[in-house]
Amino acid sequence: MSKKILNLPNQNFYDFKNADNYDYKMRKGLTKDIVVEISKRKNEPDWLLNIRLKALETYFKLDLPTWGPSLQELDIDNISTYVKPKSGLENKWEDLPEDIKETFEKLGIPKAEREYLAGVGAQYDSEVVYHSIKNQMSKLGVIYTDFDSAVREYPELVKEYFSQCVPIYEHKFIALHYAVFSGGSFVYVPKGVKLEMPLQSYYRLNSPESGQFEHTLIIVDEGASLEFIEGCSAPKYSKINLHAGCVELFVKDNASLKYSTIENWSKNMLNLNTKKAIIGANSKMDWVSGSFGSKISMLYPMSILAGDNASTEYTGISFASTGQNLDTGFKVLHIGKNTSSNIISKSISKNGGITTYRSIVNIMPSAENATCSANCDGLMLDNLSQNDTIPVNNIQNSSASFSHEAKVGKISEEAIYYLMTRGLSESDAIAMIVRGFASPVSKQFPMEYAVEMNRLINLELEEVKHNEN
Amino acid sequence: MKIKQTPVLTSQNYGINYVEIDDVLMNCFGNANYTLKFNNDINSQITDTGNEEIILKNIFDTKSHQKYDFSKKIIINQNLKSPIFVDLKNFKNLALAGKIEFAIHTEKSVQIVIKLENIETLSQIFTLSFNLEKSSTISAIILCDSTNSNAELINFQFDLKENAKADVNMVSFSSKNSVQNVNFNLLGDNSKATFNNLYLGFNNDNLNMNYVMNVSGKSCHAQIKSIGVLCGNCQKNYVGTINFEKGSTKSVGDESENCILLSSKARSKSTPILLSKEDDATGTHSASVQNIDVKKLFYVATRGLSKTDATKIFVSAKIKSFLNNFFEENIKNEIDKKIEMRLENENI
Repeated sequence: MSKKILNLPNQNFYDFKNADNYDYKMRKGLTKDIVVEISKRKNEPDWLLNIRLKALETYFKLDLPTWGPSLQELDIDNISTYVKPKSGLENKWEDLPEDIKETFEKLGIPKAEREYLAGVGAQYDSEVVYHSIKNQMSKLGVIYTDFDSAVREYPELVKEYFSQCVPIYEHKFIALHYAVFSGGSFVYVPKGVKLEMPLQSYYRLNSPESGQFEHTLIIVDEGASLEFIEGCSAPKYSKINLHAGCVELFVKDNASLKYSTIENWSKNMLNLNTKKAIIGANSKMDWVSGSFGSKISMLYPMSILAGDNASTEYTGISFASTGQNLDTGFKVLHIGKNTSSNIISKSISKNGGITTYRSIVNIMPSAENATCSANCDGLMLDNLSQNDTIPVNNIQNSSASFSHEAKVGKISEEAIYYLMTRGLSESDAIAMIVRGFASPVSKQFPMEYAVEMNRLINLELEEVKHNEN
Repeated sequence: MKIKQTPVLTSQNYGINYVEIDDVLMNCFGNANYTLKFNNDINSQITDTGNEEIILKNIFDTKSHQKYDFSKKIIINQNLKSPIFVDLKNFKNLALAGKIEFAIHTEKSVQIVIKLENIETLSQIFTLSFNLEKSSTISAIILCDSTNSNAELINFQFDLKENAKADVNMVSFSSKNSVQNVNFNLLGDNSKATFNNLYLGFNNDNLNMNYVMNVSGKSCHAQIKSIGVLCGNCQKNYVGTINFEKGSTKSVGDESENCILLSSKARSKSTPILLSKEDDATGTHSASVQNIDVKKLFYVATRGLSKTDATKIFVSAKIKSFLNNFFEENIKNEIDKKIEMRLENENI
């Protein structure tokens, strides 16, 4: 069989641009004046401005990480940290400006809202432009609103939880986030309320040489349950864009939360996102993550199993192609007794892409009878790519049970040959095998998003057949 | 020589597992109290390369202007009928630094038993390197016992050319600060390296292990298999790396680590790393940490044994199956007895 190099034309459904029309675009760079101006434009209370200023100070004190992909090409002096689109916050799609409305129509958001979502938030550049929640959810006491509105309407609730899960000093890009954050969602699910339909927030960054720093804060109160979906994309430009968002999740006792993300940022994006959940007793936290875009991604969602019998599951996939370095993984901290975690990670690299699975499992001395199982597999589709696995496991309780296994390699030629004898072309056979490899992840998404994920995989796998003699 | 950090050898200098140990001030005076015996008729093959400067830059990222207390080169240019024994005893010294290089010529085979006993010393640096030429073979048993010593820095390096084979079995007893760096470079096609390692940690000791297999040749086979038992307040930091360089087509690498915690205060940190720049190579790794299965303990306890005795039986069984790999009966028995004695004294 001739050796195939999988080579893709760069068709990307998400790579459409609107003109860079905005109401206001912050000058590039990062200074105290800029931070104060962002806060002033939002009419924020003093306590929030104080957090921003403290975060700015922290940002300048902290160093870049000494590990992972190089972030040398990030020049914050060439990034505009705040871009206000020509739109206010609407709750009807028709009321949005035409170009913004069309953007989200193309992305399928209004359709998804009509068919299977309990509520939707849509952010364009630095501000949320659309937010709605179905009436019956509001009647149950569910709060789902943009972050700025939450600060105004539920200040005590926001103040109680904001930055308590992800502290401002955690790393340099969280400090940056807290200094210039804008947009994002706030969700509160009252005690005992179990949402049957998911909520979704979608983030679109259109403006070149700018950043998006949305803050998502979700509180699932005792006995409640929620499924939340997050999507993101951006058109590709020649210069760097930056995404440094933050997701803080509080899952109280006897509650459950499933947080799913399909990330398809453009390949000029540096994606330095931070996500963390604190999970109470008898509660469950599921993460489902698909990373397909970005030039560089450093993304490590984290679960803190604080309460006894808490559990978490992480299922993730990353797919890196030419020029991409996707450094992703998961972190879990076992504190309570009888806590459990299960990690399944798949990574695929092709055409010179680099994927790295990086994780930390920390079982504290207090975590009696904790169990953790991790499985990470890497698939390399050609000899130009790279796949690395770096799991750090810190076990501090002798009653804990921990296991980790991983495998890296290429698609078996026997498997391809077998499928071809069944009538498939070589490219179809490869695509089928890759989709099968990714299926543990796609099964975790709601059907519509699983279809979307498979579509993204297919896009990545469109090939120009190349015979080597 | 001050040693601050031992960087992990990875293809991209991830820096995720820097090992920090206290400053260990080394004064190598050249007349440390030690014995070094070679228990085989190979004296004619031993060259004294003394006055050699200690350079550990690639491993410990530091350069020293101190000299080794002894530095020997041993050339194996014939097949030896019996194993070579290297017996180093280091008694109550401030410090000792030693180096032995083995050069094994083409198509020659050798069995080597190395005992490093480092007793109540402040610190010891020991560098052992093996250069295996084409189609040569080495089977080695290495015992590192640094009980009651302050610091031990062990650096082993194996370079394998085409068709060379290295089968290395190592048993380590921890010291207060034990840093081991074992590095295999599978340079030639069809080379094969197997590293089986048993480590035992006691007291308030600190075990740091960095084991690396760099695979550059085609159709190579790399295997790291580690079993560990931790008692007392011992802390272990284990990094095992299998690194497939581009061009290592059809190569296979496997790494596994299994650690048993016999004390509620023992701590295990483990990082099995798999790096790959070659799609046509297959790598697997696994790591597990556990205590003895409660059901198995209960079963044995119902036969009249205490929990402690039952635990020791299971641990011993695991260790004995490891020691079955050893080709030399005497060293196997010696190690078995040492382990039994050490576990006997432990409060499990």
